[in-house]
Amino acid sequence: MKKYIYLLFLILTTISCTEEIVIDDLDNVDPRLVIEASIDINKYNNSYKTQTIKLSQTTSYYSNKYPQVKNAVISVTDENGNSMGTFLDVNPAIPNDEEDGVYTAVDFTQPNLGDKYFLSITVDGETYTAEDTYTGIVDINEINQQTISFGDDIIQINVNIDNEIGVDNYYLTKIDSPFRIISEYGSGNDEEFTEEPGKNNFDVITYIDEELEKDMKIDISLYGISKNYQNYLSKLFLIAQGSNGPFSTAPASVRGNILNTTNQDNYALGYFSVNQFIKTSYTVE
Amino acid sequence: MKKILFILFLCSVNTFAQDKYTISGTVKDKASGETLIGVSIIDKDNYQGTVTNEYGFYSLTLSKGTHTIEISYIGYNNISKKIEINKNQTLNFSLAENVESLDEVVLTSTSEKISIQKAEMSVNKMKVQTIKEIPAILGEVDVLKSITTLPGVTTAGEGQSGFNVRGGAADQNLVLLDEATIFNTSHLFGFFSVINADAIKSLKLYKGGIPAKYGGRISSVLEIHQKDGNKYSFHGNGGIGSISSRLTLEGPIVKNKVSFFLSGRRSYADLFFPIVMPDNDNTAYFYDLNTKVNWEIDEKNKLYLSGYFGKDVFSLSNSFINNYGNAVGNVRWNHVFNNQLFSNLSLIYSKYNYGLELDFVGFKWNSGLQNVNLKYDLKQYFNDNLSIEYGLNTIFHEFNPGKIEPNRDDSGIEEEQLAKKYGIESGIYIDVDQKLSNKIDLRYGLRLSGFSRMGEKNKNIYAGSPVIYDEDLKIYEQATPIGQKNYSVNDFMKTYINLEPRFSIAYSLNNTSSIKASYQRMAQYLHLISNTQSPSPLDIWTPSGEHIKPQLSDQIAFGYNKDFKNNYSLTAEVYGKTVKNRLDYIDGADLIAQEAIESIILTGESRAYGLELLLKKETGKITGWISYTLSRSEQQTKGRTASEIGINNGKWYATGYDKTHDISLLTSYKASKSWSFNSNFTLQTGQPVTYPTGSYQYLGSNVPNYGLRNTYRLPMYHRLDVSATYKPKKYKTKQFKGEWVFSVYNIYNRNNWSSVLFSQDVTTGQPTTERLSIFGIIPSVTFNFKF
Repeated sequence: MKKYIYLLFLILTTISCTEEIVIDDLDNVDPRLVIEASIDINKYNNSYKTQTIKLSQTTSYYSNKYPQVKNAVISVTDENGNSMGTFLDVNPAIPNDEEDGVYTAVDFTQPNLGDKYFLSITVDGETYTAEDTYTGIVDINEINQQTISFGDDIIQINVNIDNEIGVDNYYLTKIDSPFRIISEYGSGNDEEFTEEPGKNNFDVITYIDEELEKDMKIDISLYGISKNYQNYLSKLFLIAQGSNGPFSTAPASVRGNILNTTNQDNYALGYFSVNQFIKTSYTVE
Repeated sequence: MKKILFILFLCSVNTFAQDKYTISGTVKDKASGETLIGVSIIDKDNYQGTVTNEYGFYSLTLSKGTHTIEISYIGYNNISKKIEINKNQTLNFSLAENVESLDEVVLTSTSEKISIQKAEMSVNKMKVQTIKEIPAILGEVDVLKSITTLPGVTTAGEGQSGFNVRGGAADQNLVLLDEATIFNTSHLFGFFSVINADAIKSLKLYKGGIPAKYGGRISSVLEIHQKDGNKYSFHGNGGIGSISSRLTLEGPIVKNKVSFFLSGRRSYADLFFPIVMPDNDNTAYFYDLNTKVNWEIDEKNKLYLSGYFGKDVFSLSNSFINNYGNAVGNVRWNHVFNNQLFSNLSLIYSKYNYGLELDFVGFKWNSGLQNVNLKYDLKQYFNDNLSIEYGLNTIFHEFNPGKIEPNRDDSGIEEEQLAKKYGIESGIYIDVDQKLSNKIDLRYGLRLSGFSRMGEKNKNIYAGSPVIYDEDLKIYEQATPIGQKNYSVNDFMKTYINLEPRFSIAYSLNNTSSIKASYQRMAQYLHLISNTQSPSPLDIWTPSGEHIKPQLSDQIAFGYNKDFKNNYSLTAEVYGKTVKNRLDYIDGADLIAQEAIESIILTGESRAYGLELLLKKETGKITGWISYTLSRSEQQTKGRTASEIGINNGKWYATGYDKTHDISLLTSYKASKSWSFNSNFTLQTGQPVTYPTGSYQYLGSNVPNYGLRNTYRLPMYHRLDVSATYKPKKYKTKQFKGEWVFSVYNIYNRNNWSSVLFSQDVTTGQPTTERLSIFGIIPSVTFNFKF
């Protein structure tokens, strides 16, 4: 909601001006390991067998070359200690796979909803661990669109799902549109929506973008995620999507669920999550 | 300490002399009958004197014989009068405004001497006329922005709401409009303030040495009094500006007895929307309405009814509707028991409401608070060396943390009322103003304050602390309540009691200079829940309770005052203060619709210290002041146990409103009867900010990685504003007077940095930084009129 207020603040500051600038001393003072370990399982096909875990490092702010982290040993196991798949930086099963800090498994086993899974990564003599619960996703009821007017007409796309009765669910949403190269992510939960039978559907996504046009095709992905992961993502998105100004909160480094068991102070950024997802496309009418 | 106070008190009572008599009465403006606050009444023979209180009342005890009494007030002609004192008597005075004297010095040094001698320190008064002369954004006279030209007063940044006094937070200021608390002081998210300058007669800011009469906030008290209304004849005034128009009407209902005052202001940019854009269904405006009726029942009794209503409304195509505002009202009864005992009984109601409707999400939101305050204050004038104020008050508070409801049938939103909170805040005080000798003046007092958190529904019960700490990941998280308990509103869930001593002393070095010192302890039971740089209108207030302790502050200050011959005066003060139980928020805390505020906060402390200089020239053709502040304001929240890291690694960090250097130069030049020129120059250290110390990639996005808080600074902030006022000499009717105010804000068009946005270009993926500057050069014209 603060976001809306900030939006309004910007509308009001019509006499204000913005200018792109470069700030000199934004060096990477404290290089850290970043672990992006999202095990995403498609609900409806067998693509789950291929999974990737990406290891990189923080870099100075304006650089978008993220140092790759090689020579790591990675394992993902279930509650009984059984390996879920073999993650290799250079996986012989993949043609032309390069040593690039992206560790791929092509033999990942289908996880069980509600079970806990464990990550262990050893790199440079230090071991990092994390755990997450495999969380499912409901199906989409319908996708519809409407036109709203903020002076100009803007297209709004709504993705409607059911709020499961008796449980609180947490979501990650992803929209890929032709006009941006970075996916638009969002996260949310259904804690505030009614669970009254018959009325328990709600719009998990309300996507408003003035670039949306008729006949444009957009991809919509919806992930079921754990409560902790949603808590992490909401903080991460707040920082990544840029917030500053009088109504922004004090920005801070966002800690995920990864623990350095060798040296606690040398913590890693990122998250290990096991999520079920569905993906669909929608053509703007 | 208490013992000393008691002894001092005893001594003074014993010195009561028998052959003394008291004169008392009210001092008024001759033309309007408006009571005047802070007028000096001085016995010229021995420089004994007093000043009128906030209701224009004075009482002065003098020895038998003939005395020359001088009544003086800046901007008014002095009255000097020989009086035969042989019995107690009532003497009312009327002062005429000094409109003619451009060149001559209006003020004698006698009244200045009073403020040199008095123990009162760290207090700034501003005349409405001065406030009106300060060049303002779009010519919109801004009462609260004007006080930031004083030393020790600043704001987080341009266009931001609230103000910060001596390194204190914006929620630590008690803003009183006719004794009623104003909870939100800003319009348009901070661009303008809610106080309409046309409606007020005086403004007094206490930054330290706060009398025991005041309590409930720990940084400052800003006391604003609305005009009473002309008692003799009907008048109006108003103005047409770039942002808003104003109209004030005042006059007698029963001549000399009952008068009314009505002042309104409304922004009108929205009225032009349909002309520029015919299809437009957006709107944005704010308004203020100040009202007052006062009834002089007889010499001894006066009754005041006053009210203030203000609102901001925005609506974008009915899909985004936002409105918020204050409403306050009160009834006050002044009763003079005898010429040495003045009393005032007040019943005050204050309300703040915030509403938001987001149609595209399908919900309506309402939050706010309201309270009723019953207050009784007495002031007893014993003799020319001693007066004592005492009184008590009690406030019943109701807080509505928020109600969410669906705004249409097909909305999936579930209606929910977050549990309302209740509290009773009470205070009882005694404050002694005592002159020990010709050299030493004292003011000391004690306030006993208490706060009881009353019962509420669905109070969360936790197994341990509401904030849990993950030892491994070193992060704070909200604990999940293990249950809820319902309390009756009559239950006292938690009570806090605090003793707040106040003490000020002045030692006169000679007739024109003095040194002063003060100590104060204050308690604050209400907290504005806000983890943003600047408070936003949807921030909610929450009372102290089981998990949130009252904020306690201790402040000491030392000062030096000097009057120079050529009408310059200098005030230099140093202060230091500490605040216990200052709230801080766990990283990533979501405060909106937060039902369990206790689970996102940690308790820390803050401290501030500084040096303030104020060189002032109040009379002559050129008037104005230079103020300089050198200060530091910091905050720290340590871990609760040795293994916790706390917030910001438990280290001290600069608050968002910490300004190392802050200079204001205000000048006013009266060139002729028709023309006057004003300027305001401000220069201050850039706002502390947190910049990323690197970035990384996650989910394909560039994520800035932040280090410690507020270790960087925005570039230095400075700007110069100027204005020229032209008063045409002749109008057809004698009654009507007009003036044109031409002003230019930020005349050299400096792009001061307001904030920096770190984001990523969505088409190239390149991390970017964008600077936001709010106000460039802004010229404007305002026409003001009087009839």
